[in-house]
Amino acid sequence: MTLLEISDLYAYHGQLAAISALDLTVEEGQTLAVIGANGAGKSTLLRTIAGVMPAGAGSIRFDGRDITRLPAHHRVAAGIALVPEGRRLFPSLSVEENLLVGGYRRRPGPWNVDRVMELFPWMAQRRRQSAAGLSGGEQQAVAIGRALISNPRLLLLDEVSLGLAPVVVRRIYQVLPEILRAGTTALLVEQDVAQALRVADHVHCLLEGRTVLRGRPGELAREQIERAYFGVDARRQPAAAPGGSGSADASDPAGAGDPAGASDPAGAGDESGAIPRQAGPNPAGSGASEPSASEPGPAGAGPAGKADEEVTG
Amino acid sequence: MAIGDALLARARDIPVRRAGRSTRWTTVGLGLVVVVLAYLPYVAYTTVTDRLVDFLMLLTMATMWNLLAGYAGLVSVGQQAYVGLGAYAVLQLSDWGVQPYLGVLLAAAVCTVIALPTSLLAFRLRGDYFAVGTWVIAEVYRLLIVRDGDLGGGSGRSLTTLSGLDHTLREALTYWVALAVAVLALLGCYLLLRSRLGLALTSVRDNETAARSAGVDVRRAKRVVYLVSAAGCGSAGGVLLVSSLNVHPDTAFSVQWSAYMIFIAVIGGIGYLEGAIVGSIVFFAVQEIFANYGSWYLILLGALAVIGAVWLPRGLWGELRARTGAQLFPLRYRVDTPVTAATPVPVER
Amino acid sequence: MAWVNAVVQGILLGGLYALFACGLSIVFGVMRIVNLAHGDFAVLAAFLAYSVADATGLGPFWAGVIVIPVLAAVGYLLQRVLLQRSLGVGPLATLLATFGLSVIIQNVLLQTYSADARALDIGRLASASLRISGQLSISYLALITFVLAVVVLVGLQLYLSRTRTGRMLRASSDDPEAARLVGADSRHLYGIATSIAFATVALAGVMFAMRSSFDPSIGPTRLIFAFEAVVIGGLGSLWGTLVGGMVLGLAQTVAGQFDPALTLLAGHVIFLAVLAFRPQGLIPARST
Repeated sequence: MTLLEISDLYAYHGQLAAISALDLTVEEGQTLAVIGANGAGKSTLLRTIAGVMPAGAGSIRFDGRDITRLPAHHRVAAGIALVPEGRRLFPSLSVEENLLVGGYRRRPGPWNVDRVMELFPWMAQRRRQSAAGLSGGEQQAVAIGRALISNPRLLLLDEVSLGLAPVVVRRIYQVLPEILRAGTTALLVEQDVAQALRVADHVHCLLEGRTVLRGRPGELAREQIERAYFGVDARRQPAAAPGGSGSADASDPAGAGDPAGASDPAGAGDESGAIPRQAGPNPAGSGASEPSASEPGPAGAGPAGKADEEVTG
Repeated sequence: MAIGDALLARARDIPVRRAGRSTRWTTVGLGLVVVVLAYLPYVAYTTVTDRLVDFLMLLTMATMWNLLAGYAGLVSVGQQAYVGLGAYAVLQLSDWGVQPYLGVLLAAAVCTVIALPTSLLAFRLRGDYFAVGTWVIAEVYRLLIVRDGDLGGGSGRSLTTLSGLDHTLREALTYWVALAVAVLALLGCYLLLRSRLGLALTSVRDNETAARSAGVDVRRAKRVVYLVSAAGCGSAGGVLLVSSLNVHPDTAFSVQWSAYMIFIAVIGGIGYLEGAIVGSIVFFAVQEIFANYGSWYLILLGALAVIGAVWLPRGLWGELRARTGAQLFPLRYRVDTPVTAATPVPVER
Repeated sequence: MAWVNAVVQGILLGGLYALFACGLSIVFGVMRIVNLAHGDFAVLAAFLAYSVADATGLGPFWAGVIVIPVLAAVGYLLQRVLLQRSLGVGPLATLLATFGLSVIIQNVLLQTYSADARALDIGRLASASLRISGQLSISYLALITFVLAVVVLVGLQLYLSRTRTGRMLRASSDDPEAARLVGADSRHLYGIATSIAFATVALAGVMFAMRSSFDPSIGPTRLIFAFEAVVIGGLGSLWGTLVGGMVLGLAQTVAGQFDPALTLLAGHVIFLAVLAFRPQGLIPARST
């Protein structure tokens, strides 16, 4: 059953379209990962679904109901919870109070304060402590717990790994399956592509607000993801970009292939030499030759490393 | 490198200026208005110029408040501090033998000097708290003046040094001084906003964080505006004294002055120099028409302020400008040839 | 002994100031705005209580009991109809709108009730006092006001820390957007914050009107005292507001002991001194 259905969605930061003509569906029980470079519109997408950012055009349907214009708090009541980028805990509230506030519009379901504290045992002893005094990883755990307590049907996770040590990230991703086993559908945004591919059933890659690739992690070739991530395709075929027709579906092998033969890494490298002649803005331009250069390593490790540097720098 | 040079060369050839042909005409028009106004005492009754003194005084104050709120984002409910201090400065200077009309200009300097340490305290408060803080500070100055017996204490005092002048001449001189102060205030604001500092202020108004990261010294820019605003209000206070010839601490330091400044700026349009002029004219007309209705007139003004602030935040001038693009004081840069990405500009070299 | 008396009176007066101030503090904490008509609504409440007492023959206390919920409802409506809209317009709009409101209220009261000073007649209680020694006596009314202030502050503190809505108000004060993400209806929350502010300031206005005379023009001074209490005590801390009110009251009564003309000035000077040397206030938030 389709839980979330987004069609032809646009969202704007001022004049700039952060999301254009986006179509996306999430089936009940599925875990969908949205990947993409900095500024691809991933966070905007989640914020638009959660209702803290207005949709410019298009529609969002949740469980068959049109929620495009629904205020954020009604969406929480309907079963959508967002773990926002940067945790955004309430610093003057204690750990326990942060969780309690998460249950403000609690739906019936398995999650409550005690259950979250079972999931993260350290919380019980530190329940009275101010949330501001926690480490980044601990804050992330509270933020996840805060979202869970509303018993969402759809859990939106925005950059859970951002700014955290690799060990901490691994630990958080260890608990994630346990959370999702309860039947929660998840839509997660990650710059750490390797991590995202590991937990997700489906991957959706955004570039400059448009879908450029989607499919099951197992069916996508590494080069395909790299190209989509950095937009080599989009640059080579400017005519294909408008209207989202540049998107490729992995289930359709013909669509995934690049007629110009960009699967040749050298070709992609040559392409980057042409950038100065192109008029369009190109944030990922400097990284275009990177995937082909970083030949060894797991899929997506190159882009992820690159992206992390950009965030922390 | 080559591309950058080529772009720069292109940019040099695109005419960018502030004044268009229409603004040149409005400059001439404004000059004419000032000349006509200056000539008025020769042809009009003193009752007319008398009312105009009030108008010009309010215009000066509103221009200063508008500068403060519209360009530095500082909402003050305490500008009456400088109106009062300006009036008392002229009184004190006249006691020391300074000609009161000269004193009106000196009052600006006195208020600037007082405003500097005041700003150190007031700037510790932000946003809405700044507004109330300035109000408290104005109260403090009033209470201090009340304690000064030489200046008349709590019952006020008269300015006697002008009584030797012929009545008509005194009225005319007062009018000219008021006109000069108002013109200087508007011109001063205009030049200030056209300067580098004006650019900094505009950037602060549009996005303070971005301005800060671009290297704008936000605090300094705001402080300069605060000082200028104090100077202008000080002179307006001086005009208040030389036109009414007596001063009472409760009137001179009345929050009413801030109320008028706010009403005028809100009605005319905050953040537009023209807004203060339009607002003053409307305010004055409302005052003339409804003055006999006592507090109903203030209720009406209050309602206009509420409606203006919430439903018409750009004010009358802002609405007019949004529809027609009119501007009396050319502050924005404009590109004469419309340049877009779609129409390449030939390199004329 | 006169000094001890001044100190005791000052502390008790501080309770009243804290009562005026706590609403200001809560609204600023949650919405980051100052209602410049805050003091005028206190005066409005006093006049309404006066009229209710006059029309029904009820005592001022009962008139207050009627007026306070009325003002709370007015606060909620005002937030939903006017302030919420102004929040969306820009940072200046709320200040300007509430300033306009202040002028409107003052002049409507002037039209309706004239500029004459009035007082709420509480009969014998006005002069009854607890005699401790020859020079030191504590007026029952001042004591009642102080106790009421403490009860209100404790109640507010409990409300903010123990109830679901109270917690959400604090959360929203920390981060309004994150609060919306966990289900806060900001407009309703802001309405609640405003109605709390109006109820407390109405109580303050009625208590004030029992101890001294009032007229339509005194609102702004009440706002200033409330504001000073908040800043002296430290932004965002209710106990700080009580301490701030007491410091302000003390400064006024002790200075008044020297020279009655110094009363107001001393309060302002203390405020400016705190601003200069301890801008975070005497008891800043997050010390609990």
